Amino acid sequence: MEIFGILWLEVIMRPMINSLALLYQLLFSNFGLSIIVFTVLIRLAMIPLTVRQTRQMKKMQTIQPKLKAIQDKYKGKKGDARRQMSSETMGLYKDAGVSPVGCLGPMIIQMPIWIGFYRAILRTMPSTPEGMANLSDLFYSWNPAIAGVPFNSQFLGLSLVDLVSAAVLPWNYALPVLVGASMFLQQKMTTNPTSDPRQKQTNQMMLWMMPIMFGAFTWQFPAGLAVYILFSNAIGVVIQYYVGGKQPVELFGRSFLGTDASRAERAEQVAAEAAGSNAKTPPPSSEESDEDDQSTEILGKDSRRSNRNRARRTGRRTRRRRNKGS
Amino acid sequence: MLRYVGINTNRRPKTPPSITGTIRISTSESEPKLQYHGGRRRLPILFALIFVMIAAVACVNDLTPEGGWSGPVVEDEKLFIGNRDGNLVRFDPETQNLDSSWRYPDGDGLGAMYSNTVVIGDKIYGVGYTCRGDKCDGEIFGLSLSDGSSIWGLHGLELKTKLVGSVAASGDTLFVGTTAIGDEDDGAEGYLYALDSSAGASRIEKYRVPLDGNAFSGVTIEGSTAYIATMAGSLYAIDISDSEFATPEARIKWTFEAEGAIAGPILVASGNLYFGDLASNAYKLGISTRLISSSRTEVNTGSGEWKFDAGAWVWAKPIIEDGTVYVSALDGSISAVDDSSGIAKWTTTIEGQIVSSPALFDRKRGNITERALAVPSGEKNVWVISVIDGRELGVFLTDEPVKSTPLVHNGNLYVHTLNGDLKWFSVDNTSQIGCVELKGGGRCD
Repeated sequence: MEIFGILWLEVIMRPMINSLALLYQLLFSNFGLSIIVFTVLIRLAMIPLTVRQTRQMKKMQTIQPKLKAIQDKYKGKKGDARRQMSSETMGLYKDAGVSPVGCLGPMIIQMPIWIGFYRAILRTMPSTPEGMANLSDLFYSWNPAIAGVPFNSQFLGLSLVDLVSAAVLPWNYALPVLVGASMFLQQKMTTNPTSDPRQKQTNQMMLWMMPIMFGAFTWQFPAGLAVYILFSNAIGVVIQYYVGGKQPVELFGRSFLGTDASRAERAEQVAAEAAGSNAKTPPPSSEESDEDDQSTEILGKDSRRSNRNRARRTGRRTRRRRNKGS
Repeated sequence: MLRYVGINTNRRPKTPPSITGTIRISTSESEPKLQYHGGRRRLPILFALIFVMIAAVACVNDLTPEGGWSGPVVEDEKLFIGNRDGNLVRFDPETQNLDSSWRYPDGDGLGAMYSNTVVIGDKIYGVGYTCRGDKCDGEIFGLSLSDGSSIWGLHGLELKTKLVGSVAASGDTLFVGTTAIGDEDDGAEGYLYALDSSAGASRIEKYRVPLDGNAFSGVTIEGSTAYIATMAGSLYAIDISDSEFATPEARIKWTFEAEGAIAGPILVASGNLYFGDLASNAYKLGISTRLISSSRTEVNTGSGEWKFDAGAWVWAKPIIEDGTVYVSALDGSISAVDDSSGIAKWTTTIEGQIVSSPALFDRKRGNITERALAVPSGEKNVWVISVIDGRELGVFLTDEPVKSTPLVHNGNLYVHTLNGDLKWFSVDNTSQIGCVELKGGGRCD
């Protein structure tokens, strides 16, 4: 366990604390600016992960109907059938170029960064004597910011170390609302449209629950962390907008942002969704071909390649059947 | 702002509940080892991750002060120590037990105590505080040495602030340094409070002088001047005479701006002030020189003042003996600095931070008596260092971090360890004699 402690300290905490302190020194002794700039740097560094996560989620979305079909096919069966189901499921993932934990992987990687950043903020601006004394162990000796401790925690009339609930008006109410709203927006942009009613319900729940939960938690967070989450979400929205192909954002029944092409594409998707939900049992072949068309657009090179392979295999099977028949 | 305290229970914040759980991994042949069920399963996983994150964040609480820096103080052959819960307890070295009838407060403690108590006449004074989130409750207590009863009635004096440094007294006036007070918004980050400690006082607060930063250093008094320093790096010399002043600020005689925050206590000796800062310096300032010096930021080396580069943050109060100033730093280094020149005679390093001052004592080995420093280590143990050349002479094995100043009394060295025990050792052979838990009084030998 000690090795994890050392890794945590040396790989995450100390670099973060020293970067924050250095930025504080460079940015006019303003810790708020230091947090914002550092948030931008972290989000930029994590763009590859964000892109990967977005792609994985979209790929996963496109294979949902097939996954459901497999599950329905083996429903109530046991033994070899279950093994067969597992094998087919894995095959499906492989063909689509999806890792079963691909969507969660990047998020899990981001978790230590979030926790580390939270801890770094608190440890860089300690409120207890022992916290202050321990800070000396965390600075690199070359860091010129070491002589500037304790750092000024005031930012726009807000004490970044104090809890949001204790902040002055309007921050004590504005910050939780802004955090919740920015999270809602980000969540809205990352949620893919689906025709599966259960999936839709889940998405809706996540869309509302996460921002409400985080908004509520923000009330008891230090203001510095709330500033971090707010800017992290805002940057996330911007990144998502570009990574997601400048898709329009729908809020309260209206579309915002997006290009003409993406709006038209979205309108088509909505129409297709409506058609899908009207037809109670859509013919599998047409659904499958729709899915393939959609996935080809969304998934990019890897998936297109796997779709081509699938098409080749299907062609081979058809030829074999024809040969047998003849 | 300042008022008598009523009964205040449950001062200590509740310990956050621990989170436990189990993870089941299926190894059944008939089940796939890893299944992904899309959004339906993703939701609980996501919520679980969020809760783990929140729990990880919440379980590590940096906002609650822990204390344990209060060292033992001896008076009338009894030791007084502020324990980690913020209770002041009395230890009898003769019976080697805590005195169960002498304890303040009787119930829950004040929270954290970072400074030694101060004995003046037949009374003992000290401070403690705790914080819930960013709301802090501090208490200044004054007790009768004989029975531990509060001289102000039920309890002490309450201030909504952090009380870190030790108090000082002049006559019936008690002086205490604070951080900003509760919801007050007058721009002051700290105060020097002058309090009437007499039992029948109609008004407790005599005056308060606003400061430019949190006052962690405690107060040191020399004649009619109180010295207090702030985390903004200012050292204040404040007139505490009974003269009339137009404003409290008018009491400020002079200030000095150090390069870094001043967190530790100030030593006054032979008309000089010694202290360290968080820009890794130790200073010697002449009191008389400061009265005529025009510079608030420069040391006047021509008048015997100096600034010494300690190499790391200096929190512990410097100590002085026979023309040598011993400066301890948070990187574990101790330097013996020539008092007149400010030049290091030797420097040595122990493992761990040195937060509190070392104690000077005579170490006997056979017929030889050697002067030594007992240096408390924030990692563990109290190290014995020769004052001659900084050699390591031995170690008092506490096996626990020590952030309080050890006390040498009647051939024993008493140490308040950070885990809340009082351990005592023979100064001659450094062997442990006994151990008692300061919370409950049980033995921990």
